[in-house]
Amino acid sequence: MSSLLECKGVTKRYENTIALDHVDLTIEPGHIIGLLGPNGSGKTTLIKLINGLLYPNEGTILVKGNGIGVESKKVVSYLPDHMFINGGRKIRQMIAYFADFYEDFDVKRAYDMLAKLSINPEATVRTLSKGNKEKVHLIMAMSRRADLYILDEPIAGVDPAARDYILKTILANYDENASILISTHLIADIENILDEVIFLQNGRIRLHASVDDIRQQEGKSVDMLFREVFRC
Amino acid sequence: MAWEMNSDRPIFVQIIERIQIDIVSGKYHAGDKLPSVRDLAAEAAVNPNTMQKALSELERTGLVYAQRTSGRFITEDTKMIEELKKSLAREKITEFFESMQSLGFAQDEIISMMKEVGEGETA
Amino acid sequence: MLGKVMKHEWLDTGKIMLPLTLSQLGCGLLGIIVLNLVNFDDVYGSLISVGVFILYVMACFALEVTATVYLCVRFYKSMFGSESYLTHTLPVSNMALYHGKLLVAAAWQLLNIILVYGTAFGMGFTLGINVAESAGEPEIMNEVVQGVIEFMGLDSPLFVIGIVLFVIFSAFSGMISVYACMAVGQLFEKHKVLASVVGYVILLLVEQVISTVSTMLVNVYQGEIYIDKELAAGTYTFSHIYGPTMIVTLIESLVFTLICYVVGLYICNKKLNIE
Repeated sequence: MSSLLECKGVTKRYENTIALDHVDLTIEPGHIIGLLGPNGSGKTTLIKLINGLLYPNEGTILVKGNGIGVESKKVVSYLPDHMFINGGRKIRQMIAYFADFYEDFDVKRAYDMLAKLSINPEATVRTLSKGNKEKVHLIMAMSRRADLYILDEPIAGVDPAARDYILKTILANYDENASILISTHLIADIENILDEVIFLQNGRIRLHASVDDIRQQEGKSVDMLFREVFRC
Repeated sequence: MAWEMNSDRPIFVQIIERIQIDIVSGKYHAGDKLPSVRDLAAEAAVNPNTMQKALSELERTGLVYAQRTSGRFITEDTKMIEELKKSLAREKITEFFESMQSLGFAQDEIISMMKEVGEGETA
Repeated sequence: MLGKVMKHEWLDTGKIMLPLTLSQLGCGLLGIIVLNLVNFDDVYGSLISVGVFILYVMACFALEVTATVYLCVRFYKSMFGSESYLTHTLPVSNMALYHGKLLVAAAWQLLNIILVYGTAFGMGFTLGINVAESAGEPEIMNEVVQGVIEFMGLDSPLFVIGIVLFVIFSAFSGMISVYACMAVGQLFEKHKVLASVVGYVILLLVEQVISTVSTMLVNVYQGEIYIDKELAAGTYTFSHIYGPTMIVTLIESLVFTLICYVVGLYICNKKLNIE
């Protein structure tokens, strides 16, 4: 049985830097995993590689045994750290667009979530408030019945109430056959919903362990450990 | 509302404690059916795997038992619950004494202060 | 998947391209109507017709440039720019994306070309009939048209097919070369757009130089062997004079476009780096 995600020796170089340095990583289904590291540690690079937005200089990435391509994109749901939905479209049109391309897109779920948040599907994305835009992006990502959800900074720049909603939605979406990979700075806020964390520094994995193991062994929260490990 | 958690102790340990308190305080009665792992995890705002770990541990100690298709139930053994209540109380009292002693109180002073405050409350 | 990409591409580009295409048609029809109504009994008639043609050419140029720029920007935006995240996370192969966008863009270009030539000929024809009627010789147009057809070599079916194929080909080749330049520009880490533009300019220059040189060579060769014979016989036509040149140009164009196609496709497929 192939793992959900398998990265072997993944390396990405730019002109002056090595963004990822021979990264080995395996993720199995049924987990909520935090990808933690300071800016420039390679989190977003790794995420973009898994999504096929960058090509690796060395190494392989397999999603359910498939290389990055059409098959992997069918089962990966990606929420980038910036707004990527075309402002001029109506929400309703975006839902139809996603439903057309993604077999696993749950249209009913999307409309239910919009209704719960009192967001009008007829609204144009451009006209929404920042908070609502973020929520719409999250709804699009979470309405997929994917095997791997990748959320890049889902709660940064969002008010605490919205943060709670997002974390609640992530938990509600939990499926033992799928995993959620969350990349973030705001560790304290999400630590309780994670079961594993990965520390990434200078393009290398420093740590991949369960939250409870860390608390037991180190006697401190992951947030505290992070501050120690990545002290400036 | 998410359950209150300390950030430096393992979460599953804290979940166990919370459920134990819920049982001895009467929120859950002997023989009650517990919500599903998912629902409990959502209520507590913790990872379902962590909740599962806590529940498995509670099963191991016998406080909770699982019936394959129906879910998890609190034990019917009221004696066990009473024992648990007492041992939790002892822990709390020991903690209390230790913190009072760190303030500089001697044992008999502590007990007389407790009477004072206790009577003051009922007055 | 290609079908879906094309469907959405068609709908998205249609918002801008349909108005442009309709404007193109509108200008042409307007020109035809005006030329029909012009009175050639006085000198103003000729002036007006010249004016109409000049305006028409300007309008065609403006519309064509707008359309091409729009289609290029759209490709860039959706493949490398602000919409690239959305585009590339869809479960669609890069091959399908590239070809889907190319086919739709080429279709719009082709439609445009057909409209331009169609209405241009329509205008010329209307003008001719108008002039002939004013001069009191309406029948003369038939002879003129026949003569033009013979001169242009349009009575040779092979030539006509060649022209049609060339027109279809040019609808594609324009976009393919731009796509390739954009893709190459993407390989640079900084100043991607600048690299694309510079690349395009270089490509045009190289193409022009090679084209001019080979055309000259062909003409010299032709002149020595071909034209004299035909000139003497009095049977030279457009296709005789320009035929070989056009074939050489066509072959060069094909080669260039093929190179651009392969390069563009390869980069989009294997060497994608989205910021």
